[in-house]
Amino acid sequence: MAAAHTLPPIQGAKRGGNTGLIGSMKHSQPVQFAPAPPKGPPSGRLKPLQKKKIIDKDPAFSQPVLTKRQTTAYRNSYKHNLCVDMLQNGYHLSFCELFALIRRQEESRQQAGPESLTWSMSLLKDQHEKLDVLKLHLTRAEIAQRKGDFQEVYRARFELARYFQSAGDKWLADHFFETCLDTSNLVTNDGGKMQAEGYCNVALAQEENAEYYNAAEQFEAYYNLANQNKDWTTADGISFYTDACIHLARIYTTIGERLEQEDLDLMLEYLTKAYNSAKESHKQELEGEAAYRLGLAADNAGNSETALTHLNTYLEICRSFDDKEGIGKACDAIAKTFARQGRVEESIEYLKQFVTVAEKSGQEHAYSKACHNLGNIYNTLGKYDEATKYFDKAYNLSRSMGEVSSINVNRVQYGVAMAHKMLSGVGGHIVANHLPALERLIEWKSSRVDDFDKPFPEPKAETPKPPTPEPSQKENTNASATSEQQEPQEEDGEATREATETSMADTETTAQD
Amino acid sequence: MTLNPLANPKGIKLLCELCQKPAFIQCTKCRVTYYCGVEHQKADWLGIHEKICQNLIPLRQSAPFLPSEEERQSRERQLQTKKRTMIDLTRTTGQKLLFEGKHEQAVPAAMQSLRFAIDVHGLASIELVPSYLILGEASIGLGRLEQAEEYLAQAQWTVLKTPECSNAIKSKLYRNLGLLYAAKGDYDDALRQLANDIYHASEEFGTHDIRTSGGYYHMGNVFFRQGRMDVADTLYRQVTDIWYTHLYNIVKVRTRTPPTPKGVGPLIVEMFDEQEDTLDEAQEAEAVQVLNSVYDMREHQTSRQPEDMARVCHALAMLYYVLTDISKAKEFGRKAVVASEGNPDDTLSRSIIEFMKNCDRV
Repeated sequence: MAAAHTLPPIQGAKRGGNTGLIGSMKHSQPVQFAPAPPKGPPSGRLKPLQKKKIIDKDPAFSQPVLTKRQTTAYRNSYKHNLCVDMLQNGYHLSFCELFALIRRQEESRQQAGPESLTWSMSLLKDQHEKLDVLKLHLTRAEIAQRKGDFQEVYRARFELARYFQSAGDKWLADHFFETCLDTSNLVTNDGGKMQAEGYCNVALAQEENAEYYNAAEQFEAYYNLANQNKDWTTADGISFYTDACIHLARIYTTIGERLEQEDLDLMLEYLTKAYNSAKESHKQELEGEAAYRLGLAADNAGNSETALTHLNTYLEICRSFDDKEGIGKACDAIAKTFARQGRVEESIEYLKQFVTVAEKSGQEHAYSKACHNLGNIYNTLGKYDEATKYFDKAYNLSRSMGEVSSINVNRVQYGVAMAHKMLSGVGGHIVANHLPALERLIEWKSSRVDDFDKPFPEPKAETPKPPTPEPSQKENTNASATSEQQEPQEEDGEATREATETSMADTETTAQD
Repeated sequence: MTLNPLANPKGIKLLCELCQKPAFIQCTKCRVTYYCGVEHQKADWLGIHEKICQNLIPLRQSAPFLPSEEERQSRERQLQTKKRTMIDLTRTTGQKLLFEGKHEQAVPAAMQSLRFAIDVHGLASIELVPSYLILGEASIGLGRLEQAEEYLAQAQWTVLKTPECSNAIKSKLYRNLGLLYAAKGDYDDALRQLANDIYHASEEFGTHDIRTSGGYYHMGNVFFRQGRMDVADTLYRQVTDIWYTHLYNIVKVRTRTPPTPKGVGPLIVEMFDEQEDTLDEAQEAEAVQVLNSVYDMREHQTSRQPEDMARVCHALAMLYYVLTDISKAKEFGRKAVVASEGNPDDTLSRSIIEFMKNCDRV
């Protein structure tokens, strides 16, 4: 075995390859233990020595000699140097994580293809500042992990997550929130407080990504933890428990609203859950809003009893807060539910409340809406005097607000109500079929003044009053087609009668006709 | 067969294959190889000559007279392909000897591969690097650090001059450089080189590949020698995990194969073998070495975690199972069961027990 201690120089080998070992060979050559490679580039050891001599002699070359590290820093990419730096100090877990993150981004970019948005975004590996931050905190976390101090690990990762959240790198923030949760599972000595925080953060991230069901699950875990320890409070002084309830209520509401088109029952279920969570949070506003939403949904689903109870709770909560707008909304919704049930008196009562509340609080929009609704109900009931009164109010209000669509709607409705009101008089006059009645009809045709209520000069002409309600009631019940035919005329008459109205409104009405 | 240098034809000097001194004996089988003495002949025979003796004949004979240009060219081409196959053959032989720990014997093979590579590719080619690396590793193994540095410096220079050089080669180069510095006791540089190795290997294979694990292992060794046990511990854990997962997958695939009647059995097993992850010879040797040394380290560690121990034992058991050394596999399996007792991680102990059942079935 000792024979191989003397390795042959490669010079001989080079020629020996072709022509056997028959070649020029220096016999006198001393035995080389370290065969230098033949010709070609110098072997790295000799050249620096020669250079050094030159450097010493020539002041022009008296630049500092670069270390190996400096040359590699110049030669390799920033990511490469950073990784090598981490590995050299033994932070291999940080390296693995960073490497995996960079690779994940590259892969998703490849998948998205060159035409996608992500293609033109700058990659993580080219953002040196972010890489530095990653390195700093990851190594911090790894040191702590070696010591078994998982709270510190959690803090480091959480900081990273916050940093990337503020920097707008959603996927990185998500990743670190998730690892935060994983770490918090290992923290044992604080009773799960960090775990609860972790669940909350992951859930928020998922909510932002529109993964609502997963987010709801995480929030539930958060809620369960918080439920067992109600003395935990966040930095803002809110207890974890309340916080969890608020989040749960919100996420359930979101899910419920998204379900609206597909499945009413499921939606109701989720909204009920949201309501319960809101109730538990002891935040009255939240509870009220949840109740209102639930009430509306129940009403939509045809379940008016539950709708009424929930809307009433909302109404009470609003009253306790003196929230005018809320009261108005509640009254409106309750009135609608009653109307659907066919209980008109209650409906009218609530609508009147709505009107008074809206009038007091000076919310013109709500006021106009309330008047409109009330007018509608009276209209269907056949109480045209009230109907015209409220439509008149609604019309004026919407005109003062200048909303074209509501002006138009209210104007038409106002006209319809007026027409209904006048119909009985006109019908009576036509049926009466004697001269004064005919004269009055003609007069009305020319001047559009509503004089039908006045008694006829001759007492005998008063005969055909009884049959008059019949046609008018018919008109009420069947479609408004006939009433619409009359409506422009009535409108005209109205316009002339109220000569005090602004000329602008007049031009508008004529333009519409 | 003995020779007398004075009896050689004029202008022809016959030199020893290994040391390039005047030759006194000749290989009787091929008659184209010469040695200075029996010792060198024996060393060369054990190292490589046994395998390439007959192949050398056509390569070293002087060219016959060929009248036409085409014939001369076709002979040239044939020689080239033969030399290429010789490069592969000598290189794998050298590698295998290295993994078996026979550094001494690996040197002649590596020298041969280097000669052929220079002959085919020229002096500054990247193809020479693997040969240099084998030579370097053998020299490190023999404790000749100066010499190893020469070889590795040559390899590094070639790599630097070839920007398109693959990450796998770079990784190997840096690993050897790291080993060299570690052997010289220059731990900082060693870590730097090994870090480079891991980086390049990760670029090529990913961070959790068995081909990357070697870098972690050597790095762990360096930290261990520096006395930074906490770091070394995590590195060894990573190495164990990588091997564990790899072996676990192999075993899972193998044990899933349903037992079949003997007539058809081997064929089916072969078909399955093609699909699964397998270990080549070098990787097997590496696994045995790495896992055993981690196991020894863990055994001597005073404050070890039972989970680490169980994992190493399980990995070793699976390795011996894969190498079809069932008795050893059972032995380590039993150790793993003992180590995993009182361990909260249920999945690990469950997989160990499942594995033991499989062993008993074989």
